[in-house]
Amino acid sequence: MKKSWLKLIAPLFAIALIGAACGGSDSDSESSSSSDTESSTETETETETETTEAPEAEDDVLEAGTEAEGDVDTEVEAVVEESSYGGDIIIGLEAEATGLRSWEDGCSSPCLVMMKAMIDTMVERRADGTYGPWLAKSWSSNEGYTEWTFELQEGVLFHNGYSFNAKTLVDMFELQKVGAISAGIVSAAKVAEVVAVDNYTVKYVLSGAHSAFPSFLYGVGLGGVFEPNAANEDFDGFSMNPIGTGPFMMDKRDLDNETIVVRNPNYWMSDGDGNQLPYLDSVAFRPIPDEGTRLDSLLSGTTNMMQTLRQGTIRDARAAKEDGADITLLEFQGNNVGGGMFNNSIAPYDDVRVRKGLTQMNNQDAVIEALGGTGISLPGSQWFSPDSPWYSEKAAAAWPNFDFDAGKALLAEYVNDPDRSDGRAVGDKIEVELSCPPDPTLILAMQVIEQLWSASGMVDVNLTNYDQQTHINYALGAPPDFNGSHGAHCWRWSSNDDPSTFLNTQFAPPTLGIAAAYGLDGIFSPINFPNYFDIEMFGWLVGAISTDAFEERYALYEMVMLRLARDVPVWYSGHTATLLAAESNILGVNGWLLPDGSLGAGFPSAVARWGQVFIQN
Amino acid sequence: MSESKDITGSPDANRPLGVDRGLHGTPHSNPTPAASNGNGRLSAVKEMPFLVKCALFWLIFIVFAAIYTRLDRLFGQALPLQDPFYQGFLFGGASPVEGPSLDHVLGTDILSRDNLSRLLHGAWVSLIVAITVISFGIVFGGLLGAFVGYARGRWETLVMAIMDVVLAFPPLVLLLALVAIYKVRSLPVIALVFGVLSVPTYVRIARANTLGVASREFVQAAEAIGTKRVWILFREIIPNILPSLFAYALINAGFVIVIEGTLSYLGLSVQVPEPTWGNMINEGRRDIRRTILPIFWPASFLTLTVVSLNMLGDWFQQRVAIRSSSL
Amino acid sequence: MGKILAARLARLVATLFAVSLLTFLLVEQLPGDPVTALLPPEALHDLETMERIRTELKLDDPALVRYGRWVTDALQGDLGKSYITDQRVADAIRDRIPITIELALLATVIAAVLAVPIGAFSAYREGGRFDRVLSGFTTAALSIPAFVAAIFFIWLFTLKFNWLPSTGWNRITDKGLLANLKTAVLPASALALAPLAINARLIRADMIGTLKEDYILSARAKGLRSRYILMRHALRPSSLTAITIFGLQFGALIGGTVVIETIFALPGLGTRLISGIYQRDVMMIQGITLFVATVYVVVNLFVDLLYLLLDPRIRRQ
Repeated sequence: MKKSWLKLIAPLFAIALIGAACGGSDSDSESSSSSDTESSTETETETETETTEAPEAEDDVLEAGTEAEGDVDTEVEAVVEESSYGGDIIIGLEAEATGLRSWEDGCSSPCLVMMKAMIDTMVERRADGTYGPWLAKSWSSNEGYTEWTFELQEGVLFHNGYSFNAKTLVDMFELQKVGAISAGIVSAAKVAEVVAVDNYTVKYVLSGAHSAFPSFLYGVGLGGVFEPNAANEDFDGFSMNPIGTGPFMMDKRDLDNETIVVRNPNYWMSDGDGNQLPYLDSVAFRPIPDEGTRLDSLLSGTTNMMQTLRQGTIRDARAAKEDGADITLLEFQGNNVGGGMFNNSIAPYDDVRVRKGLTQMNNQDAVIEALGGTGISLPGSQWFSPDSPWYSEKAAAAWPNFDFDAGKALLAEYVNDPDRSDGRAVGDKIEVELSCPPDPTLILAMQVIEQLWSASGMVDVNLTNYDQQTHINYALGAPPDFNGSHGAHCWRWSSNDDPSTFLNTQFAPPTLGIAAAYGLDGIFSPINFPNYFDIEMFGWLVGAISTDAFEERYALYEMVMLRLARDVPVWYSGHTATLLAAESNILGVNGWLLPDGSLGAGFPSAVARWGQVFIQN
Repeated sequence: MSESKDITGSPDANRPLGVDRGLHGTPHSNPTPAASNGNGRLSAVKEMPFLVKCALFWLIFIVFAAIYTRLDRLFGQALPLQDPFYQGFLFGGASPVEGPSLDHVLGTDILSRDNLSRLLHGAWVSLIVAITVISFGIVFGGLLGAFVGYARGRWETLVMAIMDVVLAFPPLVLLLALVAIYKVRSLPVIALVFGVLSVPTYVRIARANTLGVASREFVQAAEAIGTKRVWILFREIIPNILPSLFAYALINAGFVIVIEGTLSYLGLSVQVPEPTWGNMINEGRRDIRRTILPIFWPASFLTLTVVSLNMLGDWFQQRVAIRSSSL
Repeated sequence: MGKILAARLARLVATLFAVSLLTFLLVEQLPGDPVTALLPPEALHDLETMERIRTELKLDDPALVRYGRWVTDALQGDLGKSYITDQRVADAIRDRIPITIELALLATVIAAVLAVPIGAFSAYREGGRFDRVLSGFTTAALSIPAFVAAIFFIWLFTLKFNWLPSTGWNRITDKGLLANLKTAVLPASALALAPLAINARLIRADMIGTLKEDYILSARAKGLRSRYILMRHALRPSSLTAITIFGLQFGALIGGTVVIETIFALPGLGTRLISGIYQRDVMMIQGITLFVATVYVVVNLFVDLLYLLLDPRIRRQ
């Protein structure tokens, strides 16, 4: 019994945790990566002055929020210019990648920019959100969605000369089963074994149906193809010198200063005209933690590209462009939404009036404004951004938006309730601990929220900052229940992958007890950090992986979002705006193609793909 | 606590001839006329050069401002002073990073809170740290140093060895490690840690001065007539070493205020939303391209306070030197 | 002489052991299980793995044994491995120490070189306007916190004038000396302000004293020009003081570059310590603290001994 929940938990953990705690990244970000990845924007709610008259300021803030462009993402469109070989690019990143082992080291947005230059994945995502071929040429499943067979690209070589074939994946799986990052994904995806059917055909056998399994092979954690012999030979060294099939190979690694990768002359992909990729000679990655400096480096020509997850920097970049800087701005928000959660298992957060009340007093627009993100970050209302195929207008409307009075009234109801769950006397203030990692934007955001909540006169807010590790540990808690000792805890939700990859793990039963109560023995998730469970919602989530009909799944996920809007276990403070800025003669970051000619997803979460990037003459 | 030990001009008896010739008052270094009878403290103030008077005035202003803000808090914001936590852009009344105006004399910060009020509230943190360090240093350090300087022997070796160990840690590194490991965020604890780390230099100064005083005729005379040593310690020795301890304390206070500013700049001091000069500078950095004002105010307050302490300390040292040299 | 040396060395060793013990104990008191920092969160419910790792790392041994092991390893240059980044602490230090050392060295040199003319000239024109202006400047320079000066320099030289880069570090081995200096001059200058002021005052005071000595008087009587006197006769006796001060400053700066490195995003020891602190990377914090303390103590001892050796009064014995 212990083993079974272990198997279920671990993956849930990895995925939800990773996707959640780190900065806007695709499914493989690990929480233990660099400290500066969070650019959370807290939900803003309008607040009025203590007097009864409605101040003009209120209107201003409302305006700022509602007039934010509906879709700030840069359009993904195919490259029309003619490509040319040669050139070197230097890109400024937000942080250094502490390790480059896709299955073992945490990797969020800045790290992925580096890793994906050397490590290819099995599948890639298309601009329309579907998954398409990359190292896997095609795939199919059996009727019950428990066996997935992949045909592999042939003639692919690793940087060290080894051949990529079915056996590679089998050997990789041995490492992925126990990898710090990948073990969780293996469990979430319920992969039981990987079988080589023939030289270029491999079968993933799942222990449970999952209609969207290929999406798990998009993230580098499970889908990143690394050379298993090299990994086994020098496990630690692989972190500094990863061997993959990617368009570039590791050349020099000077931690915290510069990492350089050079062209892989044996890259398996060619462009539509038969020219072998990549076009560039080399790419240099420079971790520049200071936001201003990273932008300066681009503007002054010291670097040719930069990446950021901070609204303030995006605003400065836009201003620079308006002033005449010759740069291209590739903005992306995506589903990743900053915010926080309540620990639904302890008082007073176990009462929906408190959760909803606090959320209604939270002014997302004000917080976004405080962080300088007005017009850059969109307020969040669900786990999908407006341009995601899963976005639901209904859910957006249902989310308890900023309404200070209504929130205050709800809190008053709780405070005056003689049976209030925190056991305090009628009229006593509610005690809230608001905790965020010591990220500069989060620290600002939490001060704004503290003011908003305190202004109601019914909340005593205590602010704390713990380093990211501790922050996560507080939310995690300890065995056997893993309830966590957090109260109101900064967090991030969602990713751009298939919703099942993060939702199912996030909202499985939080404790064994609850699981047993619903007859779901053994199915529990310690990484259900909010400790929130709704049996109906769980049913919808399970249903969504038993079918691959889009309309059916959409309807189910919409109901899930509506349920979240009703029960408010989490709150939002704006989608994570990301930016890749480049000198305007650098093309191919936007509009790269998959091997089957379809348009790729561009640059989600500011992760650039380097294979088709070129410098225009 | 002195990162540079003797560099800030404290005498060090471990150095055979003392590197103290420079700052520690040979009459040569003092261009103003020597010899004062220095009777009342008021006459001392009258003798101050104009700039030193300004420094004193600034320090008094800071102390009063800090106390005023705490009284204001005690009385629930009743006194005339803006709320340092009130974010105008939320509730009306201000917008972020405003310039000086009638309502907000020094403008607002990035969360549209009144700068002046935050500066004055932040003064309290610096004040508490400075006072704690001075008190700890003079009381514990002074006593300990005087004791071992007079008693000599094994006690002296032991205590000085311990002081060596504490001084061996680069203070900033040690503080960072402590704060990070123990996550201290409360002002009393932080001030206490500063205090403890400062003690060794006070001990050294006290000991050095005690060695000097103990060899003086009046002490030897007292010993000769059989006065109890404890009595000598408290009646003869300590009053004579206090002035130079105090002179050092002023300079040490400035140094410690800078260290606290550094810690809070890194976000490792008292918890937000408490304003401190250091974290105000940190918050101001985000918009540095557009305006230097949010940084300028806290930086100025910090610098002016430290300058004042240094000037006062220097002046005091000169007086101490003159007095002791004219004995 | 030899006896003094031996005594000092003994004290050094004793101090270092005490420092190492203190550092270790400090980290020992850390609340929380070190194994939880070691594993990624998703493995934290797996009690079997945690036990296995605990035994592997011998974390179950009594504190004294672990301390002994750490110290013996440290003496051989092995400061352990970071739980968070998997990097060997000694490697991290080795990678980053050149930057910190260059910074400290450059700052000390700037402070020393500029202080001599300032101090000398002030001494020469004691009481005059130049002297008073400079004395005001030194008081101010002494009082501005280094990190405030750094931010101001960035604002002035990078944002307003765009003369120098505000972050990053060009290694000499990579890009040559000139590029390296471009990235080093701002941080080093910010660090040099306070030592510069102190040195200037010390040199001034010392020189004033020396200038009043008899042999200077006789040189003047001989008709030698003032400037000549200044350079040949007055400067030298003061250099002894100066050298010891510079040495002490360099030692102090090794541990004092932390904030400056953070502001300028330099890949030095200070930023590694800070990121270790933010990540609660205890092995790194422990290792760097011990290393910096050791350097500090050794440099101080070296300066002490140098002073002893060079002081003419002792040498004459």
